Amino acid sequence: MIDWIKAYLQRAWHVSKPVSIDEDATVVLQQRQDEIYRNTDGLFSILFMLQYIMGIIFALTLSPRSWIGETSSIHLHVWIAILLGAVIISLPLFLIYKYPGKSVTRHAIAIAQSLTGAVLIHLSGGRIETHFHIFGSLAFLAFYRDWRVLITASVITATYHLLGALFWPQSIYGAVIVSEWRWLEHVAWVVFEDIFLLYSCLKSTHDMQSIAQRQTDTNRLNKSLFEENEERKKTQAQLEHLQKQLEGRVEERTIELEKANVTVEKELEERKRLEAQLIQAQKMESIGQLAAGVAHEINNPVGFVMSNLGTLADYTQVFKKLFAYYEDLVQSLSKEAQGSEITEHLSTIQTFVKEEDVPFLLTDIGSLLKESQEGTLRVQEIVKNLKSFARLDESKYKEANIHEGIDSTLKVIWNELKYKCTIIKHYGDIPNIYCNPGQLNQVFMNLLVNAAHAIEEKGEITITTASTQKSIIITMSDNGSGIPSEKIAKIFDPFFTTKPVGKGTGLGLSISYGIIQDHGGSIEVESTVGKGTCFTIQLPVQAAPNLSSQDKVATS
Amino acid sequence: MQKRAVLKNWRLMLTLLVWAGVIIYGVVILMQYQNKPGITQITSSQWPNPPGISLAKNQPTMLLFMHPYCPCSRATLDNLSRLLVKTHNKVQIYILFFSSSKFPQKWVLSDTWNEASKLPGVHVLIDRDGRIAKQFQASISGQVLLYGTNGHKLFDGGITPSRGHSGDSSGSARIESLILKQTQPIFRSVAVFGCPIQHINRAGRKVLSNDRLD
Repeated sequence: MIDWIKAYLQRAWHVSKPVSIDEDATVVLQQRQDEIYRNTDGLFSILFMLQYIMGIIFALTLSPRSWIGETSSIHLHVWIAILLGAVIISLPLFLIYKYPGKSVTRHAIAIAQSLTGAVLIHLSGGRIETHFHIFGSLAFLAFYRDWRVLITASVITATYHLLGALFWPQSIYGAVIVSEWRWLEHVAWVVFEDIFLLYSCLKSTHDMQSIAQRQTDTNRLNKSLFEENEERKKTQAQLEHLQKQLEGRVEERTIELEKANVTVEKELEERKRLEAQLIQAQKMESIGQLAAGVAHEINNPVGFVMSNLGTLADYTQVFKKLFAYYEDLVQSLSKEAQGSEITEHLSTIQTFVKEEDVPFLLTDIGSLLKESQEGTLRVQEIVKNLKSFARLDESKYKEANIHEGIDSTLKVIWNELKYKCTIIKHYGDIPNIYCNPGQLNQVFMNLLVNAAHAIEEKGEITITTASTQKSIIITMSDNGSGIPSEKIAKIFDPFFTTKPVGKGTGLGLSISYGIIQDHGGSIEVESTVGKGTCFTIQLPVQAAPNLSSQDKVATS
Repeated sequence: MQKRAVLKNWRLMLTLLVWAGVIIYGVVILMQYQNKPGITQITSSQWPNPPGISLAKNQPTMLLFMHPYCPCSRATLDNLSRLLVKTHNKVQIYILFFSSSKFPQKWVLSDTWNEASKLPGVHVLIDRDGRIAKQFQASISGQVLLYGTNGHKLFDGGITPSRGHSGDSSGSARIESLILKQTQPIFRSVAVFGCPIQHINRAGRKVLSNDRLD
């Protein structure tokens, strides 16, 4: 039994003895204790006010007035409740306001609470029930979890009883003469409660110390993890920063390279375009010179052939008339000179005329001459068109009629178009424009030939012209195969072609584009696969000519 | 550091001292008042045959003089009720409540009166203008006089330990002894704590302390 009690007490001591904690845990513990002290201070401030009011109510209810026969005056208890009660709570309330959570505040509260209990006991007429206030107060003070405060309150209570026993024994113990240790009986009950409350405070402190140490350990771990995490974040941020810098540099370089590439590509394209234009210009110049030479060389013989044919026709009429006379003569002679040598000659002639069908020849000569004249006329027309197409004498800018240029071009390429498509013209009322007609004819030829190539069997090419205030608009649309969207952006690129190898150079549209640009105009294309393509050319009426390389070449 | 700083604050320390001093002063006043007995006169040693009340023939007769509004006398009734339990039917008790002709008759019907009326076997009477009290020379509310069957005074004094405090008191103990053990009376007056029910002729007064006045 004794061992069991001993073991139990040892356990009880073990769970209540102070725990050794480090400095950080001490700080945490102090913070927690300070929080408890301040909260409990606040509770006591409310309690003091309630007790003060309760004391006054006690006095006014139980002993409002003291009497001498028929006269009365305010009872001393009322003044005690109001004045002494106010004095008692004044200092702790001041300290709660001024020094919350401080030790001096707690002990002042303990003293004041004990004294308040004493005053309340007096005001209630020493009722035994009011004595429970002391025990309640001790329990309330235990909220502080500070055993020293309980000691202070208990000392005040014990002192009060000791002094009461010494000076006013009858009032406290009901006897005039009491034992000098009698006051200890009252105090013993206070000590009895103190034992439990002190143990509770010590155990509570023990628990708080343990918790503080654990919390500190946890905080340290958290701090360590946090620092590690921060370090990691920092490193990551640095890495991200470096990566961004690197990305920035790469991006800058990429942009620079892209710019350089674009510049190079543009330069390359420009160069290709210029080369193509140069080639085309040279080609056109050669064709033009050739056409001009051929035209010149053909034009002269055709001219005198035409002239001779006319003369020959006139001569043929004379011979036809002469032959008629001969026939009349033969008829007359054959009737009069039968059997003579003349008859034999006449017979030979008649046989020859008959065998050679001379009358037919005489008739056919006219047809032959007529066809020859017509053919010669056609040759003359072709030569004329060649000259018109080449326009070697029109290489400079001049005012020209676009409709004439389109018609001239159509004639040149008519053989290529006539079996595949029908030309539909919607010519509007457009003014003559200041342009290089030869170059524009080249553009029209390129577009029309391409349109013809886009038409597989039989189709239509529609040519429309219109004008605005400052420009004219020419549209050439076909109902051919169309251009896929992924290729439409490249059609003006030099050497880009959708035609089979050897059939197209890929320069036509590029040259056309350059020519239109040189004229200060624009060329746009819309196309739908399977439905056809439409080129729209806009040319200013009064275009300021940009001297292109072709012009330079042409003029040089 | 903070604790030391607070303690080193001489103003605070001075305030603490003044505070403690004022409280001690207030407590001393309270205790002195609480333990200050009423000033009594030398009461009648023989039963004066007052009107309306008679001396019991077979048991002592106890008279308790009360002021209806004396707050201290409420404790006297508490102690009397305890005494009644111990001396059941062994003493005849009269409680005489002072009433003044200056006030309406119902003035006497205070809470104390109601408390007294509830006590079993007790005669509660009105002492108009304190005439009976004057006959007995009783002057303090809560004053108890005990007379034997022969009309001799056995006890004079109070039965509370202090003003308004009930509980053990020397007066109660002595009465209990006189009635139950029929001990010989000791003519040592016991302090009475209560309001005066009449003005005292100072020439004939006797002053009682906590202790004794023979």
